[in-house]
Amino acid sequence: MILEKITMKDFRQFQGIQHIEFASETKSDGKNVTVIFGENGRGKTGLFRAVVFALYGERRLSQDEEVQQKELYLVNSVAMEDTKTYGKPVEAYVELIFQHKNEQYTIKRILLGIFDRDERIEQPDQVTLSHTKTDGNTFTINDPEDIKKIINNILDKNVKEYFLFDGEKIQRLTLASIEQKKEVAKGIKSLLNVDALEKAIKALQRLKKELNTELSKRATGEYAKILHQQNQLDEKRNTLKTRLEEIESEYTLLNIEKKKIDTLLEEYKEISHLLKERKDAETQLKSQEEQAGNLLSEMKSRTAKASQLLISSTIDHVFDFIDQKKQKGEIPSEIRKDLIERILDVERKCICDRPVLPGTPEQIALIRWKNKVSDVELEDSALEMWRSLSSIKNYREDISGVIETLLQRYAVCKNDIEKLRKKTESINEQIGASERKDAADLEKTRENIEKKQIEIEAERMTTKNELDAVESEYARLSPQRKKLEKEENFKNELSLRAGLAEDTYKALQEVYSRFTEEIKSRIAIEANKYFVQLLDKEGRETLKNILVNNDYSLQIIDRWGKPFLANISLGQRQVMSISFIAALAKVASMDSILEMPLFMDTPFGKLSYEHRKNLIKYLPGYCAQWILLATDTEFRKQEASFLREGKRWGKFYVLRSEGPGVTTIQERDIEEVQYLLQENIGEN
Amino acid sequence: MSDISELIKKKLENYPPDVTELAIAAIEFSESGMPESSIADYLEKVVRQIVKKQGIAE
Repeated sequence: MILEKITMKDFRQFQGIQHIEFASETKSDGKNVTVIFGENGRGKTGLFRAVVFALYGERRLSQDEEVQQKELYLVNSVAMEDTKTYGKPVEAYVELIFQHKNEQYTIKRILLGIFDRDERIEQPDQVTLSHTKTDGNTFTINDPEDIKKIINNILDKNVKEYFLFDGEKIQRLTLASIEQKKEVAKGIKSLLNVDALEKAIKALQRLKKELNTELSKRATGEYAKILHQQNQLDEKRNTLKTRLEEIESEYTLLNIEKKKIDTLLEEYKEISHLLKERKDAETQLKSQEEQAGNLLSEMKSRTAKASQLLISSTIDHVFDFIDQKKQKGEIPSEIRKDLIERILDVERKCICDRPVLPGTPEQIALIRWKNKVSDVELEDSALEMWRSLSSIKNYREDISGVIETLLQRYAVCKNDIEKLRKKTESINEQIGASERKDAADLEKTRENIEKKQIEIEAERMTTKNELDAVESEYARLSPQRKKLEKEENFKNELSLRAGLAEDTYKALQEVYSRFTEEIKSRIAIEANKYFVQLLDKEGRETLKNILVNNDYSLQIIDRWGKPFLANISLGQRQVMSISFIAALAKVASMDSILEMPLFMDTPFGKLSYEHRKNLIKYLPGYCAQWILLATDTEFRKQEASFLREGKRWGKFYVLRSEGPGVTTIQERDIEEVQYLLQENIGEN
Repeated sequence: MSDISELIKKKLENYPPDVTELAIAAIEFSESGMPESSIADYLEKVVRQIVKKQGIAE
């Protein structure tokens, strides 16, 4: 999506019809930066609101959290006052023209404003979207649901804040709550087309199930039995997966509830010290539980590789037996059996030339020797076995030592967990016994939530184990089914169709897991590249790596390899978020520049001199279009000069006040803007 | 975004041609915004065609 032109009529401060044309790479001059300059209160955020309103019909921005719906007006107030005189509603609108994949779209949303006695009412009216395809044909869509679908396909509502955002609030993306993170992950999946892959997998699963059911109706004997079992397992797998998803969201909701209660409890000063103690104990408990979990998995993986522990006594017995023979000199023999046989049967004389004839004492002595020694192959095998058993014994001793240490650490960990649980319980009791009944009630509710969470946690583990068992049983049956199909030459068309659906389902699952891993690591690599470019010197020395978590949330690692997100400055958060957005855009467009605008309100508010300079220098190259809504204090002569140096600055507009509640938009030549801007205020 | 689809499709090239063909059809139907049940119905037709084609080849 590349924005071309916005036209507003009586929208916010913009009385009458006013418009802005945006600079974009699609135009011949290749310039992609538009600066909209205005002092506070001139309508910069109004313009930002107009874009969000036109695309999604949303009246509220994320920064309006504390503003009540009825206090938020979109229709121009001066025009509204006029309706009092004429008694007619004001028709306000925003029309946005944009390009997407070389096709043009025009979306227009109308809003009606009227006074009902003294109450101001604003009602959304019509919305239309006209779409001109590359062949020149234009279609007009009037159904709001269809329009919503088309716009979400172009720029998913859940990721809109990654491209249309308030610079000062962008760091919120790194602080988002669990619920918000889920929404953002959904949006990112849509942007990266992961959602289409997920849908394809689900559709194939459905097809596979239908074909298998059909097949099991027609099959007979052992084959029918296996098919029936696999169908049942498939059914069970789906139920368990759905339950696991439900468990996840139940747990998340309970967490949200718990946090709400914690916030309410914080108001009771008399228990604040207990709350702090509990918070600390809970944090420690969580970390100890994680540690115990890690130790347990490590023990599991080590013991899985130590199956020889089960035959320890046999290993010792065989090793000791060979070892004794070795010590006695019986293995290897002093004289090899094949040499004695050669003397007796072929040479008939000893190596000292003494004859060895039948019946002589020499022959009898040699036969006695022959019976004492073992076969050469047997000796070699015994020696080889002695060496192998010796290394197995060493490995066993090492692994026993490691497992023992792990067990000790696990026991210490469990002990600490127990202590912390008791401590938390005691604090809970003290809070519950608070003289403030309302606080005690809240505590009781919190306690119930925790109980429920423990139950859910247990259910999650059982369900997960059950799912693993079902999946391994299904996998165990698959080769059996294939074998039977081959043996019985069971090659009817239906079984071939079911087999193809099964194989394709598996293939897509494999591709999905490889693809998502790859994409996350690529986003992290790209984000790190941008982060290093945009950060100032001190930041580069302290902050080393951005990590992308499984839910597409971010973490930052400091130079000592520790998570550091909670400690970085607002400016650094802003730089980190922008790096992530640029990386996301790059990965989504497969290493070229994603056709998306970066529409930033108050872009430099929290940024230091070096961060600003780097942003102006590099950002126009990261995105297809950069639209800045800047105030007089953040966009000064210096910023203008940096931007001009980059040769990507195409348009400049000034928002000028024409009296209370009225702003006009005036376009100015970039070369002549210097006199409008403030002098620099030093490097900070 | 279609480029991402190309990347996914490329990853499918290492699978047998019939699997690749069906998987690509599943992705393309999913991208069209169709509901899951309709996609499964369409895929049933694609599977039928692929298997029929193989039958003729054999």
